[in-house]
Amino acid sequence: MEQDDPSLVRQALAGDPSAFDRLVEIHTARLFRLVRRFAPDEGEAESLVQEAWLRAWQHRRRCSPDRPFFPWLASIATNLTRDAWRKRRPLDFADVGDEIDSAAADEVPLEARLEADEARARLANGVRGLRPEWRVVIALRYDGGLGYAEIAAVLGVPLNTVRTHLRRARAALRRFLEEENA
Amino acid sequence: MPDRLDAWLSEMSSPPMPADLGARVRARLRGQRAREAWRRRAGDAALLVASLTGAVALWPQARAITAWDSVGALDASANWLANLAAAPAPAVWQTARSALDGAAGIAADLGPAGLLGSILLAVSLSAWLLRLLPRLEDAGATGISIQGAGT
Repeated sequence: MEQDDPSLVRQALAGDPSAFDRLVEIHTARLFRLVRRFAPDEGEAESLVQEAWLRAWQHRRRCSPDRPFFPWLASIATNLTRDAWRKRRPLDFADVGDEIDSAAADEVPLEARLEADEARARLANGVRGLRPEWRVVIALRYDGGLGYAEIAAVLGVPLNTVRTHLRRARAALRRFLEEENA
Repeated sequence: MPDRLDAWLSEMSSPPMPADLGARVRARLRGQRAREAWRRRAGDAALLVASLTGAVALWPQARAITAWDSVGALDASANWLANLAAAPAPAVWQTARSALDGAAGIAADLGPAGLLGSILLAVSLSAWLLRLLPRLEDAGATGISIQGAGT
């Protein structure tokens, strides 16, 4: 019988390693997709995924079966990534306030000029060129499938900061696509 | 106007996960668990040795302790309660002084070996209790009774 995350987490907390291994089976692909989006290369993405699972096992007592499992796992992976990046260059997830970027950029009918498949492939390239902070937010939102509140919790920033980062990232991607298309 | 950028971002192309990544994660977890189990067994063995050493060192001296005689007698407790009711402050003061004298008496009776034994025993039993606590918390958090967990 297929078991859901809360019951697997409960079993893992009760000392059943096979339940935790089942969580690994279920969530590794999604975690890799998320981490690969902001890791510089595949090797580092694999290391981060493995390290995130090891940390999750070591700190499993902090995981609650009453809360969704994947955001907790994503927060471990994101923190590991941020630690790795901090060694190279400090990240700035500082509160950027409630300022509203120009919404006009979101309304340009650019999409009509692009083929969808091509656009998706270009978008992936565009995301790789984004600022690391925006790349993390985009990955958590679209690869991890997390809600705004969950992203805010994972990154430890206010909800409005998440909204602003996403809006700016999308605007930057739109500009990228426009330049590519020109 | 529906924002197609949002939809495209959700369907962005992504490199496939290496086929053996899940297996590698599980292998590393097995290694981690084996190390944890080894550390736990080594810790248990060290605590067992400390407890036994403490008990062996304490046993001959513990039999000679006389200070225990003044503690715990039923009539003494009744007297103490009566004193406490009549004059609380002097009763508490007297109890504290008796406890200090008793402790000094026990320490004198024990001697260095007994004292070392009692410390070893107390520390190892406390450490064992502390090691047990997270497991009890886990069982409580997951709604599993201690009795049920063992069966």
